[in-house]
Amino acid sequence: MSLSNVSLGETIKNQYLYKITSYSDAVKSLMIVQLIAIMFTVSMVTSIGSMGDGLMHITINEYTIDATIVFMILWVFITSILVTTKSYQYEDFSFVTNRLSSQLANLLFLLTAVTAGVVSTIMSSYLIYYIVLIISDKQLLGGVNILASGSEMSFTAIVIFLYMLLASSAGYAAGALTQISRLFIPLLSAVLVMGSIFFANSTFLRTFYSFYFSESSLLLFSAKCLVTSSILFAAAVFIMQSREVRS
Amino acid sequence: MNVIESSNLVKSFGQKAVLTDLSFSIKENTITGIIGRNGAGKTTLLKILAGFIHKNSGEVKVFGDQPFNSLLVSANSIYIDEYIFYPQSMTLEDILKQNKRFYKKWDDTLAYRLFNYFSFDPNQLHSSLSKGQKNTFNAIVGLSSRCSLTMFDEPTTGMDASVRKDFYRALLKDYLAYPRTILLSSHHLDEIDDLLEEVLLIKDGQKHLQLPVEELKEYAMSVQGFKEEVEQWTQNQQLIFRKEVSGNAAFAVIRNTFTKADKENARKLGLQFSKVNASDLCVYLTTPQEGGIDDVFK
Repeated sequence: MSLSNVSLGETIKNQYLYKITSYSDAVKSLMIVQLIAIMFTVSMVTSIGSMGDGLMHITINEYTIDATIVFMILWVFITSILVTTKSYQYEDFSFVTNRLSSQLANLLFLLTAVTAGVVSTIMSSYLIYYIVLIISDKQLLGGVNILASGSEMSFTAIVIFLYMLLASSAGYAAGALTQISRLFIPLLSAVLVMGSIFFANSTFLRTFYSFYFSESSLLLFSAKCLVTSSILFAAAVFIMQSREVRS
Repeated sequence: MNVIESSNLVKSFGQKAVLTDLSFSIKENTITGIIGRNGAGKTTLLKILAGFIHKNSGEVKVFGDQPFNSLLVSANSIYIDEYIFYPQSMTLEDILKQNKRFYKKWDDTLAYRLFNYFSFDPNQLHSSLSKGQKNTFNAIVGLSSRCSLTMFDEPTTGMDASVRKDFYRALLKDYLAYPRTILLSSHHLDEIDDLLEEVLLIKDGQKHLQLPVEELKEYAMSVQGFKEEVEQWTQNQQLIFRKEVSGNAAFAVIRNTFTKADKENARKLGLQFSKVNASDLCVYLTTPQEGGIDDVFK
């Protein structure tokens, strides 16, 4: 009997390629979320200044991609929960895999999703600029600083990437926990909601918040995000390692 | 060489014990029928072999490896049933392409020839197939993967009679051309008894019998006659099953171990012998000794 030998790396590669081609729902939802976020941004314009002398009137409007970033973080969080659900797990086992290769392929897929989220968010700022250019009935004054500069953009891209990575690992870990018991769904939601209501002013929450959201050094911030998401992903992989499929 | 070895295998779901103490082995390049009543533990056994679920205790080895989380087992075995999960977005052709990438021995020519023979549309979605079509398509995947261990769990559910025949014929032809170890679980032993080489009969989560089909066909005989005579004669025989037919007549199934003198004796008592086919025998072997469906209506 000749048995086919496969390596872990080869299996992960095959699983990853399979996920990239078959998880079309994630791509569809990414596009829809981006469209909603762009419409949101264009309509939620903030006027930061206005001046005029009777002959000429200048309004300075600011459009930010903050909304898109929030939407993307939510999108990747939900997508990460989704890939831990039973049907996605079971589909992996219709082909060659073990739990480790299925998990590591998931991580690669989520990294790809985060990257796609970052790229589309950055691109959306250009799209928003052109939409405003088209729909505005006023004459627009161009200038060097209308769009953020290249270095600002790359800085933004790295920060968005890190936030999305954090959200993805949190979603994946939460999804893995709910695979152990459905009770984690109300439990985690309760902790989130109650926590933000009752402990909004607690020092713990403030420390937590400033730890992740008020870090001024990019290097330190990157380290915090990478370490946290690695821990969350590793915990999830460990949890899922012994889960039965199709039982 | 044994492809599967299992000893004292135990598996329960919560309080419900499914496999209680299952020991058996399966030789390389054989077609074995896994036979048993509903809930006997056939599917549970196959899912343990496929590495889907844990065992509770005992030993189970596939290709000498523990199946749970084994890449070797996953790459060289396939488990086909009607509930196999494929992504909603994938067309039938996409699924075939993915399988080709995953299974090294995959035969694309065979897959497409069968695909066209059963008139599938490459652009159809797996979720839109009927039950019978789904099983036919899954069977094509199972055959074309050419896995060293191929497991079919109730593969013909929902297939019409001609597709069932075609499937069995395709299975046999491909098995002869490319011998491999095939496990086939089915309720319809009568349909597959000339396809199988061995039968593994599971009852209450244990191995009840494991025999070559030819021996199973000779395993038992049935006798019929007046109740008292049947009872008197079967006292010294290995009784498998007994029921009252009507009024004072009775029917019994016994092991085919009686002597010529026994048989002569039975003739004198007016008992009639007949053969028991393998399928009926499995039903008799797995029916509780006391009581049948008739007793429900008494």
